[in-house]
Amino acid sequence: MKKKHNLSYWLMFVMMTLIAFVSFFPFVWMFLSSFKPQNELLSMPPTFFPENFTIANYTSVFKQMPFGQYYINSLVTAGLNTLVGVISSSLIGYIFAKYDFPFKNAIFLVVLACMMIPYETLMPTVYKLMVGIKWTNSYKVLTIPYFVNIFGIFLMRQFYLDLPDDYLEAAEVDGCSQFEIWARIAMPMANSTTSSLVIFLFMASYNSFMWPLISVDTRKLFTLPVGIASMVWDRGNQYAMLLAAASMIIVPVCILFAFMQRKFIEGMTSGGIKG
Amino acid sequence: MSTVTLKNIKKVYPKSHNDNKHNLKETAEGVLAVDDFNLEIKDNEFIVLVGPSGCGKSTTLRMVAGLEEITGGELYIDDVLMNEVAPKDRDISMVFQNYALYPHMTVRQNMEFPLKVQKKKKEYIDKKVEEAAEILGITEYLDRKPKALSGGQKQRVAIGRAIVREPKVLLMDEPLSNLDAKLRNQMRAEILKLRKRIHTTFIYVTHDQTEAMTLGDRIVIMKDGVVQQIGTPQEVFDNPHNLFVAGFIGTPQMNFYDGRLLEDNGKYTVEIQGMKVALGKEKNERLKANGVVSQDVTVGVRPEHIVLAEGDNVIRSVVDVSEMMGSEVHLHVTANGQESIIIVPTNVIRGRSVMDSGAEVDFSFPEEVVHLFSKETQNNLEY
Ligand SMILES: Nc1ncnc2c1ncn2[C@@H]1O[C@H](COP(=O)(O)OP(=O)(O)OP(=O)(O)O)[C@@H](O)[C@H]1O
Ligand SMILES: [Mg+2]
Repeated sequence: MKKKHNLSYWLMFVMMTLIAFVSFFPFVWMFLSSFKPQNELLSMPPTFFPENFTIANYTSVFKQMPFGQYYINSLVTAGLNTLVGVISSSLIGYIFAKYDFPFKNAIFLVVLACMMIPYETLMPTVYKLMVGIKWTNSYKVLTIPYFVNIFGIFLMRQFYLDLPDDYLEAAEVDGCSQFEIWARIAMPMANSTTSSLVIFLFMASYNSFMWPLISVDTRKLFTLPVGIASMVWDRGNQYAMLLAAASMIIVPVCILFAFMQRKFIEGMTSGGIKG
Repeated sequence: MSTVTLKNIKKVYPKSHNDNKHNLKETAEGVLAVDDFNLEIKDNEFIVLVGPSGCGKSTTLRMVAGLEEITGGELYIDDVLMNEVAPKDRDISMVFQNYALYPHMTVRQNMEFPLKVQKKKKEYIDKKVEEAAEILGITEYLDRKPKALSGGQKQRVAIGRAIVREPKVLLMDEPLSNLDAKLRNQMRAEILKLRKRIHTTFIYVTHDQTEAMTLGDRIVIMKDGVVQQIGTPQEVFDNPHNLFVAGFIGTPQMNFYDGRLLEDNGKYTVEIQGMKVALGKEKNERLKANGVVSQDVTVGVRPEHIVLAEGDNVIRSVVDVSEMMGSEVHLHVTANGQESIIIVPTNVIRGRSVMDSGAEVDFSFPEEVVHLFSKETQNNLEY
């Protein structure tokens, strides 16, 4: 079957291609350039494909700093923060959506208000708190403050508000405890929303820079963004090596996206309720 | 297999300010959705709650399920007080109007779910699920997800999920109302069959009186949160206790006429639009026992009990429309400004012109089919 495409279709097509190109091109450039020696990288006119292909940039990243340690720090903290963050958001959002308790709306308003306050304004206070309880310079400071995410709570609450009570009541009659209703029915049904939250929380933790920068000052605890920044401060002109480090940083994010995209589609299930 | 007893069950919903449409009584605490509900359900009995929208059927059912708190009164299952028992410990199961199949599980997983929650053995679960699937004819869909099923199939799965655990009581809230007419008739027949195969107590909610009449051992007719009458389908059809029940049960609806009941020495006569009907022995005795005096009444007669007649002691009417239904004809007639429906068997009509609109027909009815309702209380004067 042939479909006729009109002008607006082609305009849209060209626009999309342009946008895709503009956003994707820097990554291609970064990846290709990470295999060029520094002098080729800075040569004029610039080359697109590496002419003197080398992996020296990659090896020196690992030689000149504890890059592997940064990597592990980032993956472990981001992984844990995402896991706990998703569970807490889902549970708390569920409670706000499906349970009645005194002052529920007032409490939710306070929670929402916290979301409105810019993170930067909160940071000094949280930092002082962390200093006070002696959590700075530890894994605790890189994880526990991330365990509750207000946007996540809000997102999950929104999903659960739209989830018909009938499913939960059916589960209750089928013999589930209150916790089982959430764990076996509500949470799995939120699959697609949860997937986007996973990406969001992982990115938020994996990319966070300011907080680990001020709360941690031993290299052993540096995460990737802080590690890379320290590299710029120490060896600011080694652009080729920087590009190699940056290329490696985005790998987990790409994998997560690729994996979660499938989940998104799987999660788009409906049809158990007629209505 | 259990008895269920509802004693003075009452439900008050907190008042919500934006909702003034209902006809419910309001008390200081809120709206009275169900009031003073009394019913003893026998083991293995099929009870149908029926009534118009908003009359409190679902609320009553949900109180039995434990999904709604009981404001007042006592609920017993097998003589154990259930008011404060959580739904999961009541050993009941429920079929929801919109099926509520878990979309992330296959049909098999849906049906297994209640047994899995109870941590039953795998072989036992498999056996039960296969049995239920067999009964409901859904064996071939066991590995599909709910979204790949038709409405009727979903309904079967929902019923399957409810029966695998062999609950003490099986609750159903308008399970057929999302199906088209043909499927509904078919599923109704299947529920009747199912009922013979599994031994459990049923409470079934519907707003469809045909469903109620065909399924129920006894039916409970409700209106505005108050039980109007409880009885077998035959009882409520033959002896409606008030005007509401009379009008609600039976299609087409019962005809109502303004009339006058005259008492003379213990003998009662009712006069409708000039036609006099002398009541028989049984009715006379019942009316006398109730001390009924001469008064204006509402007279109810079912369309199928009216006969075409000739002579002086008849009601004269004019045909508005006639509907040919096959074996019978429904005549919509007007007599002295009051409309009624008469059901006439087709063979009686043959060769007569009564089916044309504008035709004049005279009708009457025997005394034993007359129902007399007080104008004041709307109650049947005989009960
Ligand atoms: N959660 C609630 N809060 C306040 N009022 C309610 C609530 N649920 C039901 N009601 C009211 O209680 C009354 C009975 O409702 P119920 O759902 O039992 O009716 P129903 O007989 O099942 O009607 P339908 O045939 O429409 O399902 C209605 O007037 C309804 O507005
Ligand atoms: Mg209802």
